[in-house]
Formats: sequence, C-alpha cells, structure tokens
Amino acid sequence: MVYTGPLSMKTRTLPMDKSQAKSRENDLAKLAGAGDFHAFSELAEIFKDRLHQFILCIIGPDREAEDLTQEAFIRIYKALPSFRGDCAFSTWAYAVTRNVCRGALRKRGREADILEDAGEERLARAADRAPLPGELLGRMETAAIVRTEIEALSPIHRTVIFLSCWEKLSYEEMARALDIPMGTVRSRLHNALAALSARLRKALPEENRS
Amino acid sequence: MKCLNDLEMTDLVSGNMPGPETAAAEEHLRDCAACRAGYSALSLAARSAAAASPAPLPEDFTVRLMARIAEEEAVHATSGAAMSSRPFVWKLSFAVCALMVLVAALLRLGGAPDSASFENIYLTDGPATQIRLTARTCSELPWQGAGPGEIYLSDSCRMAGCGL
Repeated sequence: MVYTGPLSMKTRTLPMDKSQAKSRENDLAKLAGAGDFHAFSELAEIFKDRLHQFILCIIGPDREAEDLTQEAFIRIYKALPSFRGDCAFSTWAYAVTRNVCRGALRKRGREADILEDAGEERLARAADRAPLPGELLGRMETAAIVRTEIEALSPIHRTVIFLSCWEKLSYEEMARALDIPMGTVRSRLHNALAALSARLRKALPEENRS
Repeated sequence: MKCLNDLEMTDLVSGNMPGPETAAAEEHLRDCAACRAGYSALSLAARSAAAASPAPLPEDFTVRLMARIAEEEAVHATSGAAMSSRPFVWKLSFAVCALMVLVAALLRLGGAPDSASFENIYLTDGPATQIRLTARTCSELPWQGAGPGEIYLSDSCRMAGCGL
C-alpha cells in the first residue's frame, strides 16, 4: 500500500461548527475502523497537532513528544474497531493517548501519578516557578508569554486547561478522557484557571490583560 | 441571586453552566463588582489559553505515520497468513497421527507370526514320558508333519505314528 497524503483535505477548509466537526470525526473514525486507510489519514491530519499538544501538556516539553504522538496514533488505529461511537471520537482518542503517556512515563521510571489526584497539590507546588524576568518578557509576544506561563503550570493544570479552553470539551467529556469524576474535573479546572490567572497577572503587561 | 462561588464561576467561564443559570449569573455580574473581578480573572486565563495555538508537528508527520502503519499492516498480514494456515498444518498432523495409530492397531489385530498364540496338544493314551518340544514351527520339529505350536507327545503317540 502506497500512501501519498490525505485525499480530502478540502473538507477541513470548510467552516464547520463544533457538532458538525464532531459528527464528521466520528464518521471518519467508523470508516477507519472498517479499514478505510484514507479516512484514518484524514483523522490523523485533523488531530495530529491536538494530540501532540495534549501529550506536551502531560509530559511537558519533551523531544520524544512527536514519537509519542505517533505511538498514540498507532494505538488508536489498532483500537479503532472497538470504538463504538457512543462518545465523541476526540474524547476517546484523548483517553487512548492518555494511556500511552502513562505507559511512557512508567517506562522512564517517572511517576505516572501526575494525572492522579494525589499528585495534584505536590506537582502544582513543584511547577510553581517564578515568572520569567520582566525585561525578557517585555520582548516576547503576548501569545508566547501565555504559552510560557501555561508550560509552567503542573501537568494536571495544563491538561484540563487544554481540554477545556482549547478543545472546548464539556466536563463530562473531560471526565471520560481523563478517567476521573466530573466533580474532580470541575475543581481541577478552577484551580488551573486560578493558577494561570495569577501567573498572567504578574507576567502580562497591564494593557494586554483585557 | 447570591454571589457565585469558585466552582460556579468556573462553570460560567468554561461554558458548563446550564442556560437559565447562565442568564441569572450574568445579570448578577452586572451588579456585583467582587464577582465581576473574579470572573474577569478566570476569563482572562481561559481566553488566553484558548488563543495559544498548539505546537505544530512537522508537515510530513501524517505521511510518515501512515507509512509506518502500512509497514506494520504488511508485517501483520504476513504473520496473519501464517496464522491462518496453521489450522491446516494442525489438521494434517492430526490426520497423519491418526493414520499411524490405525496402522499400528491393524498390525496388532492381524498378528505377527511370532506373537501368535500357540496350541497345546496333549496326546496321552497312557503313562508316558512326555517330551516337551520347544520348536514352534513345523520345520524345526525333528519329524515331519508336525503343526505349529507347543506340542507334547507321548512315546505311544509317537509309536502309533499319528502323523505328527
């Protein structure tokens, strides 16, 4: 089989609302689960940056994040026949990716509890680094500052912020993706937003806070 | 409406608050400076995070991924073919074994000459000294006409010339 690239790239350039996009993704997942190679390549094209970012949220800046993203996609490809479509494909894909990250962290001998409740407070404290010097931040774009401040959060906080703010997942979807109760999602998201807010208040110039 | 607590504030910022409650909360925010300040802080964080685009992967990531999957599929197909032919091998082995058992059983039933049961013939027409012949075939007997088996003959029998 020779793969030359995604066939239906133009479908992604059409404006789609969130529910349409999810429906399209689930349709592609079903096709891919039935053995449609090109449907999977289209899914990979749609999700590659998102899964990569999710992995970065969990493991932090890491040169192996790209390899892990590939591993996650291969795991997803193999598991696709078991995807029943009773939730959004993205939620399911994040759950699979999360397990890949857990496995990778275990292999490295790092604590896989970075996604567990017990580790939240400790890791939040450990990640609470001092803001970057003011003169350096003055030269950075606002987006870069925000990214830097998000990276400085704990993995737990980065993950819920990504899933909620960027992916726009509901509490229920986040609970499925992270395999934690909805109440935990809610409190984690509050703590994460409060932590990011505190950091941005120190790091962002006054005029960029609106 | 009373002031929003931390979690309700998060529900509102993240869009997880039900519609009717959202309307009431927004109305409350217009009148409550403290809640408005809290909401603004969380909202700024959420909007900033939403604006920070994910770190992009290289352009050729998908092509490389699909090439690897195709490669793994090919390997899987090869091993899958071997797996699918395995039942035939097992069946063939079973058939050969069954045939061997059958042949062995037939050979056992048919009986080899040496393993045949012997007849004991006692010809005693009176007191006599029995001669035990250990020969098992006619040709081994010292006299002609003897049949196979372990044979006991008496002297009188021998003299009578019964043919053994």
